[in-house]
Amino acid sequence: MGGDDLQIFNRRVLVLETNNFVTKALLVRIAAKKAKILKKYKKVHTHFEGEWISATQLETMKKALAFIGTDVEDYVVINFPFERVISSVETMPNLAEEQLKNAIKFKMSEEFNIPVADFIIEVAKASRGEKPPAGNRHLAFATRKSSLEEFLSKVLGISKVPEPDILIPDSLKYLELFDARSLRESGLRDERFSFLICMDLNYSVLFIFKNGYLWNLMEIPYSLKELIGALAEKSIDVDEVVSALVEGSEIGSLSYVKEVQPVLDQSYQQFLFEAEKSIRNFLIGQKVQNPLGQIHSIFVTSLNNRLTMDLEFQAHQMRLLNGMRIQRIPLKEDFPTELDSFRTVLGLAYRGVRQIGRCKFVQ
Amino acid sequence: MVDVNLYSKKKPRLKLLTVLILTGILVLPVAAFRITLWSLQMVEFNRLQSQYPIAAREMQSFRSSEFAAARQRLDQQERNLSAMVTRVRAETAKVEKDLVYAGTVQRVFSSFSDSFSQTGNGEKVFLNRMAVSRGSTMDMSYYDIPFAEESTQTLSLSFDFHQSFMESLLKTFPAPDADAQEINFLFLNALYNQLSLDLKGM
Repeated sequence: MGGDDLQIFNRRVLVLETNNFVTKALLVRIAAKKAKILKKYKKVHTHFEGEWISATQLETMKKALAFIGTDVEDYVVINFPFERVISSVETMPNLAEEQLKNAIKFKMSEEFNIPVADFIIEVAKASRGEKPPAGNRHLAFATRKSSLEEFLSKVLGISKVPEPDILIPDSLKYLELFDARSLRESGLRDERFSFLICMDLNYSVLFIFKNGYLWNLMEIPYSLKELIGALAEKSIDVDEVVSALVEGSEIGSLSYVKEVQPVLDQSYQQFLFEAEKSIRNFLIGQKVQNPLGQIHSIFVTSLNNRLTMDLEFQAHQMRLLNGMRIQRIPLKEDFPTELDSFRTVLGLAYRGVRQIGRCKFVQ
Repeated sequence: MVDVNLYSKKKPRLKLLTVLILTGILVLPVAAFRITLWSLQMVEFNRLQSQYPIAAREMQSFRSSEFAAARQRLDQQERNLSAMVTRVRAETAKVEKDLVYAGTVQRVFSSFSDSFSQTGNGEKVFLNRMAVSRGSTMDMSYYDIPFAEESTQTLSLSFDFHQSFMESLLKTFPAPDADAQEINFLFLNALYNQLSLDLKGM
């Protein structure tokens, strides 16, 4: 059911988000245009030896599914590790969908020096009910076929995860969380650029918007993974800190807060510094006069509200981009605030529910 | 925002229960139609039952499962009846022919008898031969001998019986094949008549 067909039979959305540090799962039931979360699962697991899909991760996914319970008619949404995804903006003449896909595939294949046969690409389409952007710029996401096959064989074979209806690049889950209408009203449709700085566990990404559309996205070379690595060098319980970060708990409650807090502050500052570099590099690449004048809004987000606020605070403290005001990006009206620690997996849930129909999350 | 799906190969799979529900949904209109039709039939039947109570009792005793057998029986009976009608028709035609034949033959005898009754006092009639071949001919030969006049003792030359009989026959047989010969010998004057009547078509 990868397309839009037969979705009348999907009454449940099974969402699975996994990375090297945490696995989360949600089971959402859809009835009468309402989406209700039936079950939720979250497990932190930091023990891995550098594999991009660890054995612990696969085992945890298996446990998550055993807890959640699956059904053959579940609409399944899974995240695909963003580290294995490359994105590119290509300018192409007007072509049919399949021709456009092939043309971009060949072009990206040349650019990234990856054989066409080992390349899977997907051109980003405007969501249902939204107008596609004008012009011939196309944002495409790609991965190696071998990476995709390895991921699916492990996840479907070892963890017994049901075949996914949607396999989404992990970073896009954040875009599902935000209230597009409020963003438009706040001026996202401006001719100037808006930036969303996003810090995740395994990666960080900078989303760039213009005229109300996703214009581009760039990877920021600093993430919570580096923070966790720095903490691991100290004699503290990494699992506990990661749990606190994922849960959005008060770090001050930890017994070794004096050791942790400076590392956190330094990491956040380093991350924001890298983000500022990325923004500046992007604006320089646009070859416009007064690059900072091309910025309409700056947003910061992360795994949960707590981390987002910490990053916003640090951005103010370090006067990010010459002290430009950091705005709070509005979450969807029906976002279940009590499930803030499940924010990222909720992004995937929104994606699945959106595919089935226009539904509202209820408590 | 944007829709991206790196895996779009999943084939649709449905649970047995869903398939059953779907089948039910598809069958439901047909079932509803049949039920509606049946209800309308029952309403109409009840109306007819109240209108024709005697016929209704017969209709109620009739079971649809017996319909085929009943129809077979009716067909067989129809075939039998048809054969019987054909036989009766043939028999009737045959009887009609027999009656005509009997009437014709009887008229010959009646003519013979009437003529003899009318003329018997003055004539003797000797029936020499009579043979009836049904559907073919009726052959007969007779002698007509008139008595001599008592007063004159002379031979009478009048064959009244023969004339009367032939006249009577002409009414039934327009052209009888008759060969009449007079015989005069001494005081005997007689008429020998050989008659052949066509009975073909009788």
